Amino acid sequence: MATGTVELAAKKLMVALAISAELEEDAVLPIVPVIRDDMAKAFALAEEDTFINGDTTHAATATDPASATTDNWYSNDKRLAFNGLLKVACGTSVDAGSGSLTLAEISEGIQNLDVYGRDKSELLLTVALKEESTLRQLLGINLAVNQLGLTGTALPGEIGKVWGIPVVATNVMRTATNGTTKSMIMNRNAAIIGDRRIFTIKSSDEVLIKSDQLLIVASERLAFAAQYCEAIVTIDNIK
Amino acid sequence: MIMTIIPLFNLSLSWKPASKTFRLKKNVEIDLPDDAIEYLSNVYPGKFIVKTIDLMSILEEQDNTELLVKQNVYEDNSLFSLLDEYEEKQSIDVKKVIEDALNKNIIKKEGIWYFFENEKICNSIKKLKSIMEQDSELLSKVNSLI
Repeated sequence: MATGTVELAAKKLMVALAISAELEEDAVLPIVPVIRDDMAKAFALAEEDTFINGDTTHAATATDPASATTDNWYSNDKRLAFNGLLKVACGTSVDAGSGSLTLAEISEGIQNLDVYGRDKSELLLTVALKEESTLRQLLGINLAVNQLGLTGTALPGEIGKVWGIPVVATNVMRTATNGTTKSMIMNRNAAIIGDRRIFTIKSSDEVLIKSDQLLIVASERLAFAAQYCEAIVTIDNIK
Repeated sequence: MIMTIIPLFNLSLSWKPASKTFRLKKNVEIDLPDDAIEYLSNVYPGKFIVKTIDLMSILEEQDNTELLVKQNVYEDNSLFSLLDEYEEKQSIDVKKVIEDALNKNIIKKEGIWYFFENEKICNSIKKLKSIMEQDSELLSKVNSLI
């Protein structure tokens, strides 16, 4: 563990959507709040994806999202904003040898965290969605009150705990082209998130008055950096 | 042929066929099962230096070692002979012992008779020399008194 400088460069995530006046007038439900909720959720997912899979140097020459591939992202892909946890991880990784995720591998990952793995309450295990069932079978983990305790709290998205370590299953831990997935065990203090501008939505019917449209703009300025790359260990090649 | 690898980065390999976790350390040679090496070479191309060892060459090397050991044993035997020669060279000069013993009155001469510790040994210097050459105990005893 050493002291150093961490640079937090804020990046703006933004979405703009124009909707016709008729859409709002003819909708059974008030449509603008629905769109706002969708935007907030999309931002949350984008953040999660970027924090985990971000790569500022990834090939990204696809001109639209539809033509993007795993190897070549959309040129405005959100993941280009920051280097994510999987990219910066430098703790000794664990290779599952193209087998299913086991407790031994999680244990090895904790061991590889070295000093960062000492306090289990600071750790977080992130797994792909397909590993959620594997872990449930291994441990029967769930969030029953008797397991969390009366004062226990669960993180958002937490599916249970392994040796006191919260487990989060997410779709952004993607399956590679060879059918393998990754898991990640990290000390939560490894990453820093800075909010310059929290999620903000603005709407105006004056900008596009000529076409009688309502413009909804959502934006956020945030920074993300990993200060201790050794505090992040990946478990690779899980099949 | 035996294969070992030198990893260029740290890795914990959970190798299920062997039910074992191999801890690979950067630049430290490790012996792994062949299938594990094949797997690592495919998954992490260029991240390992694979070393192959020819068993036959090892065996030949062992034969050479045995030959060398035999040679050494032979040389050791020759050393023994050299040691014998050295000891021979270092052996007591009987003539000199008699001269010194007479000078220091360890062996006394009375008339033609030679005495050692008041005991008559013989009556001529030639006989004394031959007795001393044959009786090593007497020789060493006289020599020690000198």
